[in-house]
Amino acid sequence: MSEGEQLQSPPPPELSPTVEELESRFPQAVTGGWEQDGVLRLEVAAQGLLDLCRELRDAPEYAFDFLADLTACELDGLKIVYLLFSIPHSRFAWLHLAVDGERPAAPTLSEIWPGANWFEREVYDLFGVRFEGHPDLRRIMLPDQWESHPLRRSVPLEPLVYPPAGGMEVGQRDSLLPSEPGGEP
Amino acid sequence: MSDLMTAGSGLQQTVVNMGPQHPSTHGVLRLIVTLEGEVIADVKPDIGYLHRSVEKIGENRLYQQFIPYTDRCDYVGGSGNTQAYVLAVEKLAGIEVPERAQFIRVMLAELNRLTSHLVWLSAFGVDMGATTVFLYGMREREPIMDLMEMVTGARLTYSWFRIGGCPLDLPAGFDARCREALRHLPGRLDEMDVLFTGNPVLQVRCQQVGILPPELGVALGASGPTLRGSGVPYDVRRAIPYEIYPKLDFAVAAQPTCDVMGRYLVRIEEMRQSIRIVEQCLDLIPPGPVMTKLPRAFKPPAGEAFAQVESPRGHFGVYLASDGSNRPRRVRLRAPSFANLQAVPYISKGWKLADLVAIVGSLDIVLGEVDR
Repeated sequence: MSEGEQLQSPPPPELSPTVEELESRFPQAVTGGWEQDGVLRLEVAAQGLLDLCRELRDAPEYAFDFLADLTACELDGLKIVYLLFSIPHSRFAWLHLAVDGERPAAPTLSEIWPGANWFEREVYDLFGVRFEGHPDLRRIMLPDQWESHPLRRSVPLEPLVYPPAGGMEVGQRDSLLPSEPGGEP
Repeated sequence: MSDLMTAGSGLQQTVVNMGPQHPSTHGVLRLIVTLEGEVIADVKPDIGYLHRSVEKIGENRLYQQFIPYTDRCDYVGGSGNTQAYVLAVEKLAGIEVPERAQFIRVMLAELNRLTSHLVWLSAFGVDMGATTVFLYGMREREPIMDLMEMVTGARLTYSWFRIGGCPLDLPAGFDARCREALRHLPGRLDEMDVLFTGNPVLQVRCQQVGILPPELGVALGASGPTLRGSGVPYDVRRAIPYEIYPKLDFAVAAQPTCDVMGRYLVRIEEMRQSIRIVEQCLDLIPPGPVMTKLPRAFKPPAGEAFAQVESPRGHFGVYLASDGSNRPRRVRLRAPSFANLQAVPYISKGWKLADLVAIVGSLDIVLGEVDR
């Protein structure tokens, strides 16, 4: 490939009966999608998402039992990206859920795939997305006292002033320890 | 579940902190263990001590510049990380990799799997108190690391694969040295089997301990030997083949017992299969170029792509989003140890504190990829 030659973009994906069927059965949750190379890509919305995901996990023709990844991406607006894999059928479902940029929120999938628990905590920690119904929504990578959500575009890539280390003050309790029986010491 | 479960026995609960500096937690992992007597009532892993914001850094690096960062995630089995990243970039940009380069990448990734599993075996032995196997494992690793140094210049974090293939061809004499290095390994693995696997102390500490039911493993997103030790034969190299794996003949190692011993035996068998794979690669590798030339100012088209490999720890995935510029908009590294570690609270309740060491060791986590 010589310098300056444009890299070809992939050909447009073909229409898919699977996407049409899911759109008709879950009209609020599925707003669009396509299928290509064994990947079922769906644009989804929060309303009815849990029912859609339960169907994707339990229906034998889908059987997306493995949550391969749950993350977020801020490309044109913030979105949650779910990558589901079906171990019986060896195929992927790729769900994209657009969320609000100012107060991002999404329903939790941790009741459907327990593995979503930590993935959602990571997205909350680094992007600030609140997962409604999550059993234990708190930061996972950064210290509890950290104030920003670093992977958002609004947080600069190379800070001019490094923030404080987020350490604990003297006398401050670790949030993970249970309180002493019989009250505070 | 252990019949030593004493929840509700009326014993006072004690909270014990394990880590982040601890010889048996395999890195900077903090486990907050709630005990009733010596029996575990709950474990809360606390991670983030090795968080280096690699994903944020990736947004400010050229695609080629990010390659060394990929090795440092799972720093024991770095080739898998780099391979997943370059596969994702190649998918994003529609780049075809020459066949010879694919063979070389698979060979180096499998050699890295061998070194990674040998490190795991050594560390697992030391955690159990079997210190002899530690140096046996490290000794077997040395010829393989010399091979990697011969090809890449480095012993552990290679940063050697490139977008489009490999930077250099294999050096002269690699074939002979590789066969020589692997010739003794099966016999040495048998020796370690006798010394360690057959040891009655190990068997009592590992059999029926830390049971991970297969449905729970799949639902938690566990992968690799952690899941295959529960009888689920999910191996990315077989399920979602990449590079030249469809041309290779190897068995997917799985054990039905769901316990620590099952995960242990899966890794031993995987080592034997990796030796088979490398020998097949040496036999089948074709001549040809090792790199597809890219434009100097490499700008993939706007879009998203994902790729995954079977790293020594499991399903390692990379998701990239590009806005058409020379830097990625998003680099996401899906680490298998992150998902595997989630299983610890589920599988250690009812066991003793000493069993927790065996259980965490059997998951083979590397904190570099858990925290990134």
